[in-house]
Amino acid sequence: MSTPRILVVEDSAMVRITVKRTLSAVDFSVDEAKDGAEGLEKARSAPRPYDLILTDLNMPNMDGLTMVQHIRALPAYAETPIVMLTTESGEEKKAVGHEAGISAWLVKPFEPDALVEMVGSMLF
Amino acid sequence: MDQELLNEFLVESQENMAEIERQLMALEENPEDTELLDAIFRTVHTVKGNSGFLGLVRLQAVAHAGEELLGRMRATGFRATPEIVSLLLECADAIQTILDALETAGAEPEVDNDELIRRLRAAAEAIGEGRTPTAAPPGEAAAEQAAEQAPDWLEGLDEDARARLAEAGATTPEAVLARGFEGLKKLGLAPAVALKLLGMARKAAGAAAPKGETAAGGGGADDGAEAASGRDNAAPAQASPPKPAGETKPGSAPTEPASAPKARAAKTPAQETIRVSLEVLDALMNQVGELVLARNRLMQVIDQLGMDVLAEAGGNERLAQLRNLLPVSRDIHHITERLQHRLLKTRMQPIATIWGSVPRLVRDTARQLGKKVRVVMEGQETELDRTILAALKDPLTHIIRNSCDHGIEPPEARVAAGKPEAGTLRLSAHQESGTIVIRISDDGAGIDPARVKARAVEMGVITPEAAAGMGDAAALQLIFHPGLSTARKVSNISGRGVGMDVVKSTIERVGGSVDIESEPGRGTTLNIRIPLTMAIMPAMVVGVQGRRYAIPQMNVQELLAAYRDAPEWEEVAGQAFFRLRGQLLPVMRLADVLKIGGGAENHGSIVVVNAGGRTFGLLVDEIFGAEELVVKPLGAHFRHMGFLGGCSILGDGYVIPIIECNGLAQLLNLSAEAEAAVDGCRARRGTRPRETQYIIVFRSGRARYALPMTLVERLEEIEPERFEMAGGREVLQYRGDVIPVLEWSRLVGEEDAETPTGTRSCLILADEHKRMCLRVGAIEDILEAEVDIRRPSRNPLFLGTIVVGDRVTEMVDVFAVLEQAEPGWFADPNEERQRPTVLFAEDSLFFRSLLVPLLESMHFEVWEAEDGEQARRMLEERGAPDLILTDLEMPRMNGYELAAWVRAQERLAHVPVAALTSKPPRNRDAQALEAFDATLLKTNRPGLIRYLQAKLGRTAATVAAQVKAQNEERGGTPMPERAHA
Repeated sequence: MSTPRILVVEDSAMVRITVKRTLSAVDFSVDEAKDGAEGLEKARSAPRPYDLILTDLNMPNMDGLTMVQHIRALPAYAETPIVMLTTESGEEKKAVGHEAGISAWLVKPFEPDALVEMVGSMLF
Repeated sequence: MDQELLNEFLVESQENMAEIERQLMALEENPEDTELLDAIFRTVHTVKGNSGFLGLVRLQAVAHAGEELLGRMRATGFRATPEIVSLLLECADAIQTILDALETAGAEPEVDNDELIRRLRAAAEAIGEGRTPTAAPPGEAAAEQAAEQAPDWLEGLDEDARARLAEAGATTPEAVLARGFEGLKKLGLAPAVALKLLGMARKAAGAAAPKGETAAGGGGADDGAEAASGRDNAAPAQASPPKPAGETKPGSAPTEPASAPKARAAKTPAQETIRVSLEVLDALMNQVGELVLARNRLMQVIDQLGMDVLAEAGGNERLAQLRNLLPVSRDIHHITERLQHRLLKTRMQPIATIWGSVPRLVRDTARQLGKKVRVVMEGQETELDRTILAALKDPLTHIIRNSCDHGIEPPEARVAAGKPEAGTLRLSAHQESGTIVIRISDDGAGIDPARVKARAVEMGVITPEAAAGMGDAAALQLIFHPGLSTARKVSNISGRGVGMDVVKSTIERVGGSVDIESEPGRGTTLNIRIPLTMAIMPAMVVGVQGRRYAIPQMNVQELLAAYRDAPEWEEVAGQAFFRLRGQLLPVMRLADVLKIGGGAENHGSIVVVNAGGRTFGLLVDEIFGAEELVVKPLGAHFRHMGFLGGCSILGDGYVIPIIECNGLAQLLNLSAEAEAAVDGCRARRGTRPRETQYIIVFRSGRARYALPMTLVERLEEIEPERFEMAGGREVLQYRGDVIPVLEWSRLVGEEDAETPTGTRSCLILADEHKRMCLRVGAIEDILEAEVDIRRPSRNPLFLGTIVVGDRVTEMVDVFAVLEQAEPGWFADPNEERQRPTVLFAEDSLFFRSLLVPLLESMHFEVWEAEDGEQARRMLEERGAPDLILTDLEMPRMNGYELAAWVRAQERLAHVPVAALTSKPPRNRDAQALEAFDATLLKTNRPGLIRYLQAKLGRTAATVAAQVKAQNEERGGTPMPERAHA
């Protein structure tokens, strides 16, 4: 009985909107947070855990990696796929990211199709 | 029905039914276990008896048929076969479905168990006659039913995708989930379709399946939905205490997976939820309401004490003590708010609860009528107060039946009208600033206003004179008139007749409103607007003659200042109108309505209200602002005043009446002449697509402003030290640029506004090559809203006032702001470059005069050159165009030479050069033509147009051009069209 719920954590409204439009078009429900702190709060207070979290790396208040570490510590999010949206694609960064609990990376800017592929392969 | 009794019944039945599934499967394993059979019989018998007692006819019917079969089995010592067990499981499922619906919606669902009952009876009969019921009929019927049911959860998916699924045999949610994303793509589904489908499947299956653990059920220990996978039954057996009835060992998996119970919605884990009666919640709600009032009062008192007094109490120690009130009151304020919202949440249920039965309802109705109807539902997760939900169920059923019956035409008629054979019924729900908007639309025959009028005259609802002067929109609303709608035979009106007045009054009783739009031949839409909750109402507090009144925010569209000598005032046939963006808005004086005297002067503020299917203005003296009111009912002696909907108590103890806008709308009796004036405007308005766009809402001082996202490149929080002074003005180094900084409060003349210190919120506005930093108080939100970008408003910096999330917000005219702050922002070389530029070199005046208008008609800026040499000079002087189009043979410098020169220029490297020839090129020209990106025939206009569109369709479009294009192209919403077929 559940529409997949996605949380997108991004300080760029443009990216948030792209994500929201793309995923709303397939009837997913998308919540937004503007920085890591807000993302963490949303993840914590969500009545039902999100099915997937998309997050930026560099954000004010709390960066993406820190947020992911906090979120991973929540029992409800131990297994939730978390995708990092980033302009960087360095291997070193990825290693750090995986340690923090990132499931996959999506390099910005991305096409809506790439997002659909990513979400599809992470969730199903 | 006695609610307490029903609750008792539900609790008991749910417990028994939880057992029955397992018992039935155990019976399959041990068909001779008569004690087990007895236990099952008793359960079904009890359900039947109780449901009969409670008058639950559907439940009783299906339980009765099940009981009959079980009775025969007991009497004859019949050994249960797998077929019989699946039939009984189906019966148990049907019972469960009804029980669940009773629990959530409080009423029996619209289910049709006739087919099942027939099969149960047939089996009972066969057993009674000593025959073994043949597997074929039930099996066939079950397969048929499964095939029929498959589309239910696939509602909204396009035909092609459905066909592919059917071909692959993946028609159940579980099968779809098992295929996964990759598997579905292999079936030829587009990724987006596959993703959507998986989302739907998951919703339908109710299984929270993490990656790699789809319907195969590995480790899914949460619910019974996965029984089909052949999982060990031990877990559920342990979970529930053994029944005294002949308990067998936990059976192994059912022998035939196909006969396992259908996946059912996951139950809420019993350990984490408890049952609380609605009464308790209502009582709590009431108390919180009182708390809100007390909070308001407290805030008011503190306000009156004066913040400054508290802050500067200084020497006086007792006064200084009062200062502690501030943080405490803030806490109370916040806690109350949170408490209120949490409590409201407990009463919320997704609208899916009452929509669940819609596909079935539509299918059944359509089938009865020999029609084809497709259901599309959007926003099923939208939540509503359950009292309101329950109240909406019947009107909804009614509306949907009407749509199928009167709205959507028979297939032949549709085909004849050039429509798809199957009609579409679209249900959508979404939240719009504290209100839920539910739309039910069909693409059927629509309603002919003339026939409604004729019918209304015939029924004596309106006089022929009134009918003659009545506009179409008003005529349609007559559908809701009791005199018209209680008429029995209305099928000669191609519309909804029966009971629409009941629909309307039911919706209004829960504080909502309904109106109807229809276009003959195109379809009909009902718009239902209802509050999220009835207990607390956001409202606009206004003043009339020194008294205060509240207008529900739900009805408020916008606020206008209306001075006595404003040129917008007009009068048609004695009715006052205010011209708003070219439309005539009928205006009622609230003082007149309330009969509290006062001069009949048109002066004050207008609250633009939408209610009862009309938009009108309410003239008031003052607007105090928005408040959350706790609604209290009015006494019986006020009931005759249809325009009062209740009352509330303000923070200062003032009892404030709440205006009921639907009632007001009925008082608005426009003469035919006045009505025609409005209608004319409405018709024009109707042709304009509604426009939503993303806006940023920010705060400065005490006011809220909004501006469209189109020009905003980024939102930044910028530390104060990054702002620098240069050339007597503030600038900011930003991404390698030095950009001007504008302080919003100064721009709008809030000079005295205190400038916040510390990090500041900034909007980075960007045109193609230029940026500007707009420093504002605080950024509040980015949201999608319906905004009418029509100018002008009184203040050139603003487009007008809009209501965003219950709050009054000034819509900023970004262009005007930039123009005022930075004259020449738009009037500079960029102005020339807003359109793609084409350099067109051609020596023949004839061809120039032929092609230049074509280029201009495609919105290109054209630089005309008479030969290659002039073209070259233009390129040197003016910079790079977006494309060069050149003739080949020209004096001074020919096309080949020009192309060669262009290619030698680094700064022109990206500019495509196309050759224009009057004859198709010959082979020996091929090499010479290699310098060009394309060779186009002068005489082939379509080819030329295609090439230019392909090359320049998207490049170089400036923000301004995009805005224009968007406004022209975009219909209702910037979202991509949802992928419904």
